[in-house]
Amino acid sequence: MNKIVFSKIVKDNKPKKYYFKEYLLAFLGGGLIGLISQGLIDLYVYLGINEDIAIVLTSLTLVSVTALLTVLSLYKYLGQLFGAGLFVPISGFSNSMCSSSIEGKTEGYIAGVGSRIFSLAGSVISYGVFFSVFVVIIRYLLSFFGVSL
Amino acid sequence: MKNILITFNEVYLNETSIVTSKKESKYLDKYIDYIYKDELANEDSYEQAEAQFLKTSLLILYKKTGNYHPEIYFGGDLTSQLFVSHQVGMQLDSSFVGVYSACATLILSMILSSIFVSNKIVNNSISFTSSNYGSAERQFRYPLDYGGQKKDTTTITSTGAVSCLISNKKSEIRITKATIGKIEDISWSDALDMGSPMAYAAYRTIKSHFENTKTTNRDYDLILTGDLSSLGSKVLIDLFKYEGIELYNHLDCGKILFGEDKRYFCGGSGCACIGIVGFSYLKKMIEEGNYKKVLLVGTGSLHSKISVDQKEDIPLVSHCIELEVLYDLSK
Repeated sequence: MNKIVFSKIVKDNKPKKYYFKEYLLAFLGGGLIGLISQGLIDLYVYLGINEDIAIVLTSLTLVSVTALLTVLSLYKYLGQLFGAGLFVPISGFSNSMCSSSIEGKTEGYIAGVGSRIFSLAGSVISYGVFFSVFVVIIRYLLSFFGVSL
Repeated sequence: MKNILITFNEVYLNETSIVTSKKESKYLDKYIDYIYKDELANEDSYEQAEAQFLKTSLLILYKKTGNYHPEIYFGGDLTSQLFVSHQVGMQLDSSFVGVYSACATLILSMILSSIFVSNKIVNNSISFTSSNYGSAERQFRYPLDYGGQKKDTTTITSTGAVSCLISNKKSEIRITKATIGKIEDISWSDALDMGSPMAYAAYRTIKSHFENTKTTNRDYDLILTGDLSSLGSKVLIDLFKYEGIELYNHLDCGKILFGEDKRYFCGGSGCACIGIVGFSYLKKMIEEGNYKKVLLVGTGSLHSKISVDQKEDIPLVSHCIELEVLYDLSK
């Protein structure tokens, strides 16, 4: 029994994956978030809020709603259904922070909730900051050649 | 080198006790001794809940057997440094040996108990194990409310605790032989599909048990594996088919536990899985009366969170224990 035979046997028995269904659900989930966000921006603008602030408020709303759904243990079912459609937008970020901090509750507020909150989402923040600095440097250097981005 | 075969002399499985949460009891509730409504069992944390499950299981076993002071305990679970077992151990008043073999812990504990009883070191011994979905997810995977999509090959850790009394006092189930497996490696690092590589470990141990005892699968009425899941179970059958052996008498506890409900992906896993289904099936067999020789095969994946994050190959293990149902005693 060698490893090649083994991997072939495993491959033959893997549950069938319905790619089209998964892609479609992810597409719909992502699209739904986009639609809701645009609706929210329009709503905030309609209520007389400056458009820049309306965009920030929309992100805040999405983060809060996701956090609420996570605490109510409902978000995981949506996440399983829509996959990357909910994971890639800001809702995924909010969920990963919120779920890790819930998990840390048994260790108290400092060592548990406070420090574990970034255990999954930490890389988003670290690389977010790192690459934004990187992009700013490129932009600054390009400005010497008369390119403005 | 061959795997070691152990033959026992006058060792019996006297009594078992099974405690689970509600979702594990759906298909086997007739055989389960106590059912908690959820994984948290009114405790503050999942680790405490697991200890509560284990304590309940031991109390039920004491009550059933009338033996409140067994001479030695063998047991383990999935938490780091076997904390749940050790915490419950603080309240036990006999010698305790912590055993870790991931999901094969129960089988290894039963083998060790049987060795002690067979060699007349002790007259009776308790083997136990427990697992909890909440504590295992935290130990090995993601937070419970994390919304990332789970793979189709995922298995769900069963919540529950099981214990059994093994002694030299005659009962319906006799423990005859056991094979202790060696650590297997099949260059596998995907911790989201544990069923397939464990099927390989089970295949190796079962094969060596057949060779050592000079039997084939036809000599057994049932070969019950621990938590290979619906995928691993198929892999095991195909591995034997590759050798030209038709494994028609094989069932898998993980596959049975949740009745192939798609909400639980490939089925159940965890230390308690083989105990919940295996012990229930033993009771069922005695009732039905058409099984005589049964091979219980525990399979474990010995990875840690760190080893998986560092993408190391997963060490796998499998132990098996042979049981004989003595019908003339049960009637």
